[in-house]
Amino acid sequence: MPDLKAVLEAAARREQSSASPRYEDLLSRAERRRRRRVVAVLAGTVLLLGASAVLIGARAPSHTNDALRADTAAPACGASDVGELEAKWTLRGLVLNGSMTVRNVSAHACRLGPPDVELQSATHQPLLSEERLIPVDFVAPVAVITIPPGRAAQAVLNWGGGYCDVPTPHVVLAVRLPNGIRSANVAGAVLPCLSDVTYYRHGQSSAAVSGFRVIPG
Amino acid sequence: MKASDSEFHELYAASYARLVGILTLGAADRSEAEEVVQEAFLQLISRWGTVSTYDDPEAWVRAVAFRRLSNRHRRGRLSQRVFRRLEQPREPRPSSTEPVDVVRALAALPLAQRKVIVLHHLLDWSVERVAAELGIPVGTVKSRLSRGRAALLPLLESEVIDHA
Repeated sequence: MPDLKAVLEAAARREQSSASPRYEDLLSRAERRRRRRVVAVLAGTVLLLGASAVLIGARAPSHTNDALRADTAAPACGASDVGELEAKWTLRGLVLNGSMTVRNVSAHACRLGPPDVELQSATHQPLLSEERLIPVDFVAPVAVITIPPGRAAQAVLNWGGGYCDVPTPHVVLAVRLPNGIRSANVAGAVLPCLSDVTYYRHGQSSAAVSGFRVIPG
Repeated sequence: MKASDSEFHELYAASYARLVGILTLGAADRSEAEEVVQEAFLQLISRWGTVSTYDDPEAWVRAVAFRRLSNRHRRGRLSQRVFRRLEQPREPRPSSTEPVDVVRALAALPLAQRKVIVLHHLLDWSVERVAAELGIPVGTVKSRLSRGRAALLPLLESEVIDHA
């Protein structure tokens, strides 16, 4: 019976690479990779801005409640203005559909744009998809709104695909605001790790969030 | 990263070969091990500011490399390559001091079993630590270890006999 540890150690020593790639080559490869990423981010940003402009333009005539339009005189909603963040979703097929809601608990109206959201684990670590932060794209409506005091606003939220990274009992939704972060635990399902990769690669997922809309009433 | 270029360079020079040795056992493929180790170091460059403060930055690189290895296999990108590899016998090694072809024996095991065997038996990680690293239950680690050992030991013995 061979001593497994000794056999593995000997094999690992034997398989050690005798010639590692030059350090300078590694750095230049990293630089090329960084440039590619910058180009991709720029291209993505341009596309996103273009799409947002088109969506905003398409939606602008359909606004029926002028009182809910952005009032540029109102200050931006800070973390202390919006009170607690509430979020919920339910799993339908490969997508978690839900919403998140904030209430303007201040005595004045404030402006709120599309939320800057990050999906986190129960321990507030960013959730990863294929070792990258799960992208959260914007979907219409993305306009900045004004929330009157005491009124609530809601944004549509969904997360689709397969999640195969570190298991988490629930997801924490962290929303960055001008002077702080508001977060909420989203109870219920987390995306399953898909074995059927017809529509998504293994572990690939992405999320989307709309801008807020003031809840009528 | 400029300020600590020399520390990064030292880590790279000291760890690269060792990590390739370890990952080769996990991947059962030397060239694939070199690729995932290089990718892990590339990832380290952008996170060096944080990782350099860790007690053991090499452990971070090793963990990332193992994770990348798992992702590659999950996606099945290398399935045909592995298949070909199983079909075609490896070239005989020039060295006669180590007659047992452990990598060929490991290649016969599923990746999941190879990983727990390498982490537990080669790196001396506890079963609990392996479970935490891979995000699987302790019982699963134990069963994979048991099955992996049961499959591996006869192969190692036959390799010894083949080369005798």
